Amino acid sequence: MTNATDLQFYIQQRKEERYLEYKCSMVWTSDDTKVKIAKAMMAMSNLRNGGVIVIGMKEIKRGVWEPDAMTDEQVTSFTQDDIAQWVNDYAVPAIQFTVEPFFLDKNKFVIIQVREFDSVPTICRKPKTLRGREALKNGALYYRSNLKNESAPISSEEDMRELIAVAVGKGVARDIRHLQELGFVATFPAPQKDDAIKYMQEREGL
Amino acid sequence: MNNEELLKEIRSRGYWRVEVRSTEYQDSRLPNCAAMKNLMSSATVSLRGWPYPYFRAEEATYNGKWLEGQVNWDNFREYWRLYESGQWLHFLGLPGAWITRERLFQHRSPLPPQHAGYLHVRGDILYILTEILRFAVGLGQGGILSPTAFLSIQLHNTRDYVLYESFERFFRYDYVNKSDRPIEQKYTLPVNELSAVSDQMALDVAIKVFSVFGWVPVDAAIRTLAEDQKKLIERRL
Repeated sequence: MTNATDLQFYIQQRKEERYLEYKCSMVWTSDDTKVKIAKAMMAMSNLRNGGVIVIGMKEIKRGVWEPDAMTDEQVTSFTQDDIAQWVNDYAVPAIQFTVEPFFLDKNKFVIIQVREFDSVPTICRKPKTLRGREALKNGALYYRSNLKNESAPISSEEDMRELIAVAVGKGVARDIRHLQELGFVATFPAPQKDDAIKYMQEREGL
Repeated sequence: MNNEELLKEIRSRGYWRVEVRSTEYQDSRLPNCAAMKNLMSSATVSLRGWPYPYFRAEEATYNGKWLEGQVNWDNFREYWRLYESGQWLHFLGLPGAWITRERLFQHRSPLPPQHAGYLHVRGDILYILTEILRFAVGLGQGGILSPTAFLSIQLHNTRDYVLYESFERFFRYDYVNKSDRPIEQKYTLPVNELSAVSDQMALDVAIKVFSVFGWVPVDAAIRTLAEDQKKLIERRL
């Protein structure tokens, strides 16, 4: 579990990062909220090392955020079970995450920390329509682009390559671990020979 | 100012000393001046306008044993040598050691407290370390570090130097180095592994430097630093 200093940092950062998304105060029971959070969580889960969503911030000017006034009712509406049930109905494989309330300087927040996918990227497995618009797309790979801090379906080849590299890397690492367990792959220590004195003489004291 | 005088000047204040070489000494991995200049051209890193190291083929001089170069402009001071053995040696002055507080923080009022020198968390530490390690990768790709590379990165003379985060935002507390001891990190590793780990090594050394100044970044701060490092590498700063 992340310590309080980390959570504090996420809030005091005051600007979004690729791995850090701010959301204004909202209540979980709204469909708008569910879609926004699901989209952000799927995108974060596809990111190397996952990501963090902080609810309870407002954008005071472009790119600059500060704490918003979040009510107790809003905070308590976000529960692990409710979010897991709704989000993982759309996300496959299921997203691993934690949700916790956090208090800082009389302000209340909800912080959702999303883990990087385990073996294969997270895909949205069914659509969700909101006010006649397709808010979640069936088959979409949501991602936080390298170019813009936004959770959206993957749309650039660069982002796709990056995601594939993460997935392939996990597969390779898994295979190597497996081969090591079976004794087929060994790790060798680096050679210890060092001609340090010859180099030192060459430097003439420098 | 000749090289000896410049080196003396660099070492009179805060500076980086970088040594990169193979663990196995061979006296002519780089047999002539042309081979050295070619390697320097291909290994030099340019991620943010100012190259690491400062190399101009026409300005570098060769004395039959090593190629050397320097720059002494404004608050930038460097001196480097590349030996025939492939040994790389670099002395890099800290810009924040040579610029006045008033000039460095000209848009800030009041000025931050007076210190012996100022080190920007990213520009003067994380980014320069990333460049140093990427340059080492370039040397490795040039074939002069095989089979095993040795790297020593030292930060000298930074007692009473203070970390700052950006021109607008300061740490809540002063993170000041209270020690005279050089900060050093050494690595010995197979050269073919270097490119895979160099950026992480740069981040690790940066965190070590920060800790000597009294700043132990939380995981979230490390993550932000890593993101900024990535922006540097992808030239998105």
